[in-house]
Formats: sequence, C-alpha cells, structure tokens
Amino acid sequence: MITSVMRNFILHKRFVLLSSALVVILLSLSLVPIPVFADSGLTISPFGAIALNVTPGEKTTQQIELTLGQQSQAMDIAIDVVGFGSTLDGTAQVIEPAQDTDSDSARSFITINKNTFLLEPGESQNIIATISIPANVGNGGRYALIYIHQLPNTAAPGAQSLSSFNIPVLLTIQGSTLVQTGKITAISTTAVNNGQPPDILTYFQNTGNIHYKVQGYVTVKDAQGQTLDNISIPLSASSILPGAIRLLDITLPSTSATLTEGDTIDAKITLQDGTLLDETASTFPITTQYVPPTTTQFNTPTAVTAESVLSTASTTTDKSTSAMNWVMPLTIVILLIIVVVLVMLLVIRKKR
Amino acid sequence: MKKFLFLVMVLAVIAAIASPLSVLASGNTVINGTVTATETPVISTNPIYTTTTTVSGTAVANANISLTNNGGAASVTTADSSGNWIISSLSLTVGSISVTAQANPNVVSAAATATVTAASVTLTAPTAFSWSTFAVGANAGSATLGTVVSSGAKSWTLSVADANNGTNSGYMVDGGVKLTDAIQVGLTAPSAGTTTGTIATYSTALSGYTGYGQANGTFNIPLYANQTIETTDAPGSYSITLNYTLTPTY
Repeated sequence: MITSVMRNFILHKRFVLLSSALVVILLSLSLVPIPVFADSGLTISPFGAIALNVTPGEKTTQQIELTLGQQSQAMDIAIDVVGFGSTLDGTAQVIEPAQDTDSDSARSFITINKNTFLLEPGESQNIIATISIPANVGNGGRYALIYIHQLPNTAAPGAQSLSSFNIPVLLTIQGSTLVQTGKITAISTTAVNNGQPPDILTYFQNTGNIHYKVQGYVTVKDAQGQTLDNISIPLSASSILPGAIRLLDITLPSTSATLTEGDTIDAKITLQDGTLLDETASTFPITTQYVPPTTTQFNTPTAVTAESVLSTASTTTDKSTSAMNWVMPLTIVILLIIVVVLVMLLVIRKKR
Repeated sequence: MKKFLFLVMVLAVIAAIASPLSVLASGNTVINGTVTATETPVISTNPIYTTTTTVSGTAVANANISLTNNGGAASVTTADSSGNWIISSLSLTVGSISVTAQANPNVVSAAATATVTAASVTLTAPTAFSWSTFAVGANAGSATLGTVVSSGAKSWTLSVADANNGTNSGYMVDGGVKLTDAIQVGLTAPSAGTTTGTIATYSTALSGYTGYGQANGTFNIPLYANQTIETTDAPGSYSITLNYTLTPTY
C-alpha cells in the first residue's frame, strides 16, 4: 500500500518539478563559497620570538605546532637549536654549534622533544622546547635560535625550494646585573648616484650584556657649525644583541640643503625610553657632494632604516579570508547524488 | 480552555508589574527600587591574537571597563563620554578575553567575550621548477609563485639562500661540478636583454617586498629564474636548492 503510494508520488509531475527546483536551489547554493582554511604550505603557530624573563635554576617549556597543508607533499622536518647571530641589518643568522662559542649563548639550555620527523599532508606535530637555566648562569641575556627546516629531497635536476623558520630565543636573567651600553663605531655616507640623495650610515654596537632596541637622529651641519638638517632614526625593528653591530641606514631627505665637502654629521643613539647610549664626540666629514634637484615637487622627507622598508603595492591584505580558499565539496556531492536519483527515476518512468 | 489562557495572561501581567526588585530592609520598612544591569559592552577589535596588545570597543558612556584574559588579573579603563574605550599594553595568552562594564549606579554588565588565538604564519615556498634540457645561452625557467599568509604575526623577515653554503653556493651543481655562470633569480621576469639578480639580491629585494609590521595578509613570493649555459659547461644533471626562511622580529 505504502509502496504504491510512494511510487505514484515519485512518478507524479509535481515530484519531478520539486526535484528540479531542489537541484536549481542547490546549484545556486554551490555558487556561494564556503570558506575553508588554506590547505597548502607549512604553518607554524605560535609564530614569534620566545622572549622570557627567567631565574637561575628555572625550567620552562614552550610549545610550537607545525601543520602541513593537505595539498602539500609530505616533507621531512628537522629542528636544531643553534647559535643566534645577526647581520648588520638585523637579519637573524644561524651559527653552527661548532662556531657558537659566545658566553651569552643559550643553545646548551634548550632541548627539543623531537629533532626530526616526517610531516604528512594535513598532519600537525607539536614541538616542545624545554629551557633549563643553569643555577650559575651569570648576568645579562642569553640567546639562541630554534631552527625549524624542511630537509631537501634527493637532488633532482632543476631548482628545489625549501621552507624553514627561525624562532629567536631571548632570555633575560632576572635578578642579575643588566648592562645597557653601546657605542657608535662609525658614520659614513653612500656615494651620490644619479642625483639621488646619499644614505647616512651609522654603525652602532651593543657593548652591554642585554639586548635592546635603539632610535636616535643625525644632525647635518655646515662647515660653520650651523645645523642644516635633523633626521630621525626610527626605532630599530629588531633588538640588537650584546656584541652585535647594527647598521642604521637613513636616506638624506631630498629637501636637505646642498651637501658640500666640509659639512659634517653628528649622530645620537638612545634607548626606546630616550636614555642616551652614545653620541658622536667628533664630527665626520662628508666626502661626497650632493646637490638636491631644483624642482620643488619633493616627497615628504622620510627617514627609514634598512630594517623598516615598507611593503610595496604588490602585497594584499585581507583580515578574515587571507588563509582561505573557496571550495564547496559537500554541496557538489549532494548535487551529484540528486542528479543520479533523478536520472534513475526517469529511467523507471520510461520503463513503465 | 479560553479561561485557562485568560488566567495565564492575567498572571503574566501581574508578574511583569511585580518584577522590580523588592528589598526587605530592617525595621520592616519595604523599599522598592529598580537596579538595572549596565548594557553589555562591545569588543570592536577582531580578530584578537596573542600578539594583540590593544583592545578597544564601545560601552555605556563613562562606564568602568574591566578586561580579563582567561580569568587573570583585570586590566581596567573608563569609557569616554561617547562610550569608546581602549585598553593598551596587553599581554594576552591563547584562550579568551572577557570584558564587563559598570555604569554607576548600575550593576556590572554581562560579559562580552572574544577568542584569543595564537599568531601564525603559513609559508608556501615557490614550487620547484626545472629545465628539461639546457641550451647554450640564456635559459629562462618557468615562473613560480609562493606565499606567506600571516595571521596576527606582527612582523617578520623572509630571506632566501642557497641551501648549499659551500664553495659553489649560488651555482647549479652536478656533484662537485658547477656551471660557469651563477643562477639568476628575481622577483620579476627579465626584460629583453636584461637578466635577473643573484640569490643574495633576490633575498634582499624580497625582504623589502614582503615588508615588516604586517599583522595579517597574504604576501606573494614570485620567483623568476634564468640560467646561462656556456659552451664550455660540461654535460650533466645540474640542480640547486633555495631555502626560504621566515623569522619573526625580535
């Protein structure tokens, strides 16, 4: 009885119309994107430097999660704790253990729960870094890098790309004597090329025992000691580690007066809170002459360091959907099932 | 049935009228007063990451605002006369924040909550490219595109280096044999008669290209390559590995 009623219903025109309408609705829905997270690439979370205040004898752990996108190919991952060096522009630099002999190295304090593993597509691995501070650690800061890197496949003709992350570890020993001192080691200017204003290069060394960021300004004076320009040096993007030298590179504003031989430059470097670290005791002669263009359409003078180059127009920002692709697999599957059912019904109807 | 419904309605009206709080004070004096909860504040900052140091929102004008992260110590401020509030210098951990408001003499509002997630980045290095065969002269590689997807990671740098930092660094090699000319890579395709740069210049350009201080966004990593082959280069199967390294500022 029920079967015959159902058969009558499914063979009814209304059912066909209803099904068709359903298909249309689902088809429309399938055009509405459903967000899913990016499914390629290597994701690290949290991503940031590990900066901790620690006490002698303390033991602490930090957890980092690595996830491989589903569309990526499986990759071998290695995690090494290495020495923390930096280039003149502040880029972190891996120092191999054999060369990492500085007394402020924290490399030996850090152990990783897994040093190599295979990461499959869609898989996550938790990395636990245990940081053990020796009781007799001493004063100041201690530094290391956790270097997380993809291992290369067997060499194949052509070019291969690998992904890796540096996680800086900066430990401040609480209760110890923290020394924040530094000195300007050199000032120079770049050559004037094609009428472009020169860069003023200030080399600054952290002579203390703890990392810090710096800012400051340079003053350009003429031969008579009259100030021609004051140019600020913005806060460094990254900290300067003890012993490291940082190049603070600012471009002379194009609005500056003509620079001629005999003009001088003074530099003053401070901590973020304004505490003076060093200022040049003597002046440095300008050896390249710069004559600004005679047109008045100058940009607003902007002092930038080598570390604070702004992004260009080619970057795109999207707060909510940047990590998403737009796919709709479930809807498509449902749609396909309905189409198959409809075809079957039509076949049954024809047979009758 | 109708009588029952009528009765229910009457009871509902009575309950509504009697709803203001009645407080029985000492001395058998009955004091009737209404205590209204402060309107729930709104958290405007979204999304909130562990790197987020400032959270703002709106509330009743001049209300006292209290923010806690995972039930920890409260950070407080006062909404201005327009109801805007902002709390800075936060150090948040993964979990949630809870914000309440209290406008005197009203009682504390219900809590507005928001999730705090860990800052993360996803690095997709430009895919490998290959030349089936090299010809003498310039050989342009097919361009590829990688990305850095940053979610709350405040600032970082991206550098590229030849994974082989030995004597043949910067060159395609076959075992210990290198090609005469260094591989050329760049952000853009070389125009006619020009070439792209070295790996070092590509890395420097990329650092400026991806930028600093970007909390969220997708940053493209274009890779164009060119390999010049000299007649003196030995036959072989040459390769090179580029290592893309992402470092947060410190």
